[in-house]
Amino acid sequence: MSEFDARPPSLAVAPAAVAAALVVLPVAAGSTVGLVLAGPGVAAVVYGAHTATRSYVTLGGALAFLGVAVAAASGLPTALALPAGVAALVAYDTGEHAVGLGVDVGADATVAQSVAVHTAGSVTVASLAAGLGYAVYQFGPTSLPVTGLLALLFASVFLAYALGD
Amino acid sequence: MSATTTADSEQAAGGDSEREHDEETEPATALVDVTTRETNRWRGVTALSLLAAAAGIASTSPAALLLAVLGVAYAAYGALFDAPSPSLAVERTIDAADPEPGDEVEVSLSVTNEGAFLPDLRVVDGVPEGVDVVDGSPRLATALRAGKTATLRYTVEMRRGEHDFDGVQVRARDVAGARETEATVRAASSVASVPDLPELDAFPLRDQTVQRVGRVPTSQGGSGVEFYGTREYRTGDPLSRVDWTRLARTGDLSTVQYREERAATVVAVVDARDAAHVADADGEDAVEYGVEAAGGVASALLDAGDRVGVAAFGPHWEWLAPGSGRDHRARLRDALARRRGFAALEPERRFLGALVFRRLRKHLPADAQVVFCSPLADDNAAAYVRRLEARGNPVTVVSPDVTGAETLGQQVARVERAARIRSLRRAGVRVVDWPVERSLPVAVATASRGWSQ
Repeated sequence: MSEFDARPPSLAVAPAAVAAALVVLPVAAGSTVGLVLAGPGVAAVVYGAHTATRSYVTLGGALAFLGVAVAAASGLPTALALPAGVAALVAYDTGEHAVGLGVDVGADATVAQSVAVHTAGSVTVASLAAGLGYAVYQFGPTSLPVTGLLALLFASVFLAYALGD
Repeated sequence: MSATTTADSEQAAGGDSEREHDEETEPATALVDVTTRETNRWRGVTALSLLAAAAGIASTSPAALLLAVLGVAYAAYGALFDAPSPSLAVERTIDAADPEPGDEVEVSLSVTNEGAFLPDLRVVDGVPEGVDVVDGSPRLATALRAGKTATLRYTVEMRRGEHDFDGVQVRARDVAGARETEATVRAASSVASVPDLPELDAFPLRDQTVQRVGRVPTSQGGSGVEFYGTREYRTGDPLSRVDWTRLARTGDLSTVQYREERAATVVAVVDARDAAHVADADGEDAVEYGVEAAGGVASALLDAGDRVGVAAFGPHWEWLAPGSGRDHRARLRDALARRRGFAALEPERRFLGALVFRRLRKHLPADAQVVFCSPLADDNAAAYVRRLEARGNPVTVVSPDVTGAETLGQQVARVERAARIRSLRRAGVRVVDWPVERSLPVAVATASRGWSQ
């Protein structure tokens, strides 16, 4: 029997690779510290997706996102940090999806539609969230009091807790 | 011919009884073993977003705070959807009519979504263990809108036997991939490949026969072809058999006797124990060769008028009592091709040697000869042969040689097998040592030249 190749088809890895590139470019433009984290992170995502190693994808995804956060904290402009953050999350999402496809259907199967729909969903959600956040940040009240910010933070923590269970 | 097979309509195209199923049947829709679970792929994204928020607070950077929003959005995305509850219709088409072993058969599987939109559906067809997928993939991942059909096509290479396609495994995920549903769709269909019995002109038997006229020469005088001896004339002897020359020379009336030729009852026993499932250099199972040998022997002996039966000596016991005639030949061919005991697959049961051997002895007629088709890959094989011989059933062993000579282990196995053959021959058992790269008729001819000397 032709051996089952439990790796994702290259097509399934492509979105993760593109997203990885979109993480590295903005971060490289602004922050060396961020790049030190995010660079190996996205490399691990792509490698993990290619070889169907889920732990690489998970760790790499986290590292990439942290790298972007560190880059943002160390002065990367918002207009660069947000797309990089979106790309990091999309890279993790599509990379993990590719691993799942590799395990379930293997390298020889047709996967185009599944990959397209999943990538579209991921990109849409991330872009919407980023767009909304950016809009509020740009056009919202200019002088947000510290108490308001703290209240927002608490609200987001509670929301995250409620969603997390 | 295109044969459509779906659930509950088992279709086997094969043998002389070729059936045609061209009518459309209802596709299988019943999902069984449905399980739903969380994939947990968004676990930790909240923690990450809180880390980003913390970094934002600490550095008073709005960009990092905004990144926290992304994480929370994904956490919400993951929690938004329920596990999909797929409703699918599955139809499998096997494009084959009486395929020979080695033929390539195209299989296509259509999956129709009869429920809501499925953003991520993975389908894995249950390809039977005995056939190889040579082209395409029996697996598919796709997104399927309501009412749409996805088709996956692949080609399998047929092997001897009856192959049952199992249920189709499906796994559906929501668009965020946070929850998935796994299920099996029952869609049984089967395809069978029943090859003709291998050609073998003659197979020399041991000299145990039954009271029927046949072709095995006996050590009894009577009516036959070959000269056997003369004896004193008795009243009633036919005049054509009187030795007239002798009468003229000496005046004694005597009768010429010819070697009587009788038929034999033969059971071809295929060694299908775990130890016999050894592969040769090409990866072919020795049991496959064993079945080929049994088929060849049966074919030759049935042609010669002998009564032939077959048995599978292994965890999956099979028995076809000796018989003769066209019907029996067809039954035998079918049994060798289809029955589980003769399949070149790893056994699924434990082999209880004593029990199966007792069963074989019970079934074996007392006057039957045995042709034992075994690779002689372990000492037990030789022991069983000796015990059959001791019981009074003359045994001829046909042993396909699947040993290699490359590694040390292979060489040891080869020497051990040669030692087994020698010891069997010393015990009076005939052994056809069949190097599988040569054909069976050549091996039989070579071996029987040695016996006649």
